Amino acid sequence: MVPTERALDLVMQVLSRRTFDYSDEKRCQVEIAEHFESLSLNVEREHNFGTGIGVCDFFFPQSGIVVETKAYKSWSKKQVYRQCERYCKQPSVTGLILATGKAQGLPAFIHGKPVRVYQLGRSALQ
Amino acid sequence: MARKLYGEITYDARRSLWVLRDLPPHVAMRLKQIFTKLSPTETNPFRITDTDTNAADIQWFMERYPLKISLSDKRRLNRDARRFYQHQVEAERILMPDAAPTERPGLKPGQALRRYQKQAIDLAEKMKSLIILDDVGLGKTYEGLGLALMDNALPLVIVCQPHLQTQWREKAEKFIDLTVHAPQGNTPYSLPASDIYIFKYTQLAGWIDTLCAGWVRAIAFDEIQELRHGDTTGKGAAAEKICQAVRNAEGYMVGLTATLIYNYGVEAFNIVNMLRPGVLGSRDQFMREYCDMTSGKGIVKDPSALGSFLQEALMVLRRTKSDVGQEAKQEAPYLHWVNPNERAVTEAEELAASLAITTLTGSFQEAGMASREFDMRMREMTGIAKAHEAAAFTRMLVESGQPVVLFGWHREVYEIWNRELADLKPAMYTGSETTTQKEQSKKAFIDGETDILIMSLRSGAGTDGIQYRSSTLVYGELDFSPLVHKQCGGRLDRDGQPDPVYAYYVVTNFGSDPVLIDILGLKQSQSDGIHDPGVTTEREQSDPDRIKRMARAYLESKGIEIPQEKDHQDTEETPTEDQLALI
Repeated sequence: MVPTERALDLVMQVLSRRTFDYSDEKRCQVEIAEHFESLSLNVEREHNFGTGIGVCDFFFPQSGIVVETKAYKSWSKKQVYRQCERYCKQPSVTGLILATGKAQGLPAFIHGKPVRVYQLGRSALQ
Repeated sequence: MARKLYGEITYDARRSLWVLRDLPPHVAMRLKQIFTKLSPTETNPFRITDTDTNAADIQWFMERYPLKISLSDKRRLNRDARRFYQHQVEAERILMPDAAPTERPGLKPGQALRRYQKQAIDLAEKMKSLIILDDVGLGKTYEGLGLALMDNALPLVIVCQPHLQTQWREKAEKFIDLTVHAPQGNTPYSLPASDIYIFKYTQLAGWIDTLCAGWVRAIAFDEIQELRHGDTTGKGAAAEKICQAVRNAEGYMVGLTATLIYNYGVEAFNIVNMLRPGVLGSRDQFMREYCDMTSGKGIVKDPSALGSFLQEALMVLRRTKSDVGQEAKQEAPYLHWVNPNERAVTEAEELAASLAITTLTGSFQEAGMASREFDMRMREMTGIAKAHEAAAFTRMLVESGQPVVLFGWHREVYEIWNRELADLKPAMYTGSETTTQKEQSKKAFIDGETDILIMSLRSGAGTDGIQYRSSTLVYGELDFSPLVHKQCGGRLDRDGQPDPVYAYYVVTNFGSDPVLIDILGLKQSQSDGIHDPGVTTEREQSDPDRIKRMARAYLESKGIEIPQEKDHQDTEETPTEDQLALI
């Protein structure tokens, strides 16, 4: 199995290969899903961790990486953090990427699992 | 047997509207689903702007739900709808890859228009109003001048940004066999007889009476995004009146730009409505049909839908470099992430803190002003925090043999760059220099007297000549519009550039950069959809080795030992299929 840090790098690189319209969260998720599909990645859309934990946007079952997307609107940063925290608590999760249209900091590790932030706006720098 | 009628339609000539009345509820509901510019709460009678596109849609609606209509109104509706279909057919014929564009005499010996440029002129002639949205570097100046060769298009008025008036005049004199005059000053005088007049945007308000007198047969707005704020600016209000006068004289109105909007989609409405009023309905209707009403900023919900409508309405003609067989020279950008220089910002931070406090605690007016200033100071502080790193990075590029155009915005930042790079004697092309000084700086850079040209992000759009000297640009500061970056790139990636163009962004995870990056991405999606509807934008991958090669060359030139490379965690190299299978 590929080490988690390497898997996180790879997913970050995959995300950086396309621009996504994050003015609307649903559209953004569809675009990311299409992009993952075009690369034949082994990923589950809207993976349900069960009651009280929630449904993450993308889950890579092989490496245990979660990708959570947040579009451009006024999210409560604490709520986003708590959501990430709930996912990171799950034994099947090894690491997490927050792909966000609204800048937010996260600690490098949550529950000992590596966490990255991918700013969707980066693709506008061209 | 006569078909059932579902209501009545009449034409309101005074307001140029189609009025539909007495529609039963289920038909009214269907009408509102088709004409989404109508409010969901609107009731009989329904008013729809008279445009060719709407006429075609109403005609189609009436096939399913026949409406009572007078003979004269029916003739008008059929005529307008027929014109819509005719324009579609004719536009297709003009733009077919193997179509022969109209050959128009009138160029100076040895000069020629390219095939795609002639096609744009043919379409402008057919449609009377058009926005030519060709990529940066496809020669829109020549398309603009070529408009003078259309039937009955003289005198032609070209409106351009102030720093480009001389460039336009010089190009016109070399290119086209017509007389050219570039009016000076804002006080009208008796204009000499001429075929082409080149005005600056800043002159429009002063010359408005002259330009509205009915003699202008055609008007071309270069970089038409200058009018994106509509009639809320002096130049916008003047342009709207002048367009009205040109329209009354049945003249031509053409916009030229590679970057229609700088911020949000509502800017497209402001521009389009000036050239062809009503094509997007009224402002309220446009907001309802296309915009996210909750944001209040005029963010278009589905930019692709707006873009494809504008193309179908033949309001916009868009060609990319690859559409016309050219190759974009700009390679994928490299993001150089830096840590902020804390000492440099301490002083500025104290002021920002007090502004932030006022933002939160001041009166409404005080807080609003402080909030804007806080925003500006934040950007300045971010620029200052990155300035030393940006200078060092630029030095590395220059000393590895690359002449560099370094883009920034704040004077404080320019000062640091000038101090840090003093031995390399950078030339300055910013808002602080006069037009003559800017030209001198540009010349010094092109002639090789200096290897660094410090340019303001918003000075010198469309400037020609720098591409012969440099293919490397560094963004030491970010603009808040991605299209400004595109314009900056276009100063190097244009006709005559022999080399691949490399862009480097110096960015930080602190200060205003993260917020700006969010906004830039959002605005980029708006413009991507409007410019190229339905097209997925794949990002080229930057070549991570290029910057490493340059770093090695720099260290070697300085006699510094080259360190062992470490694996970087956030490189942008393309993963292989085997690697992807492991995720």
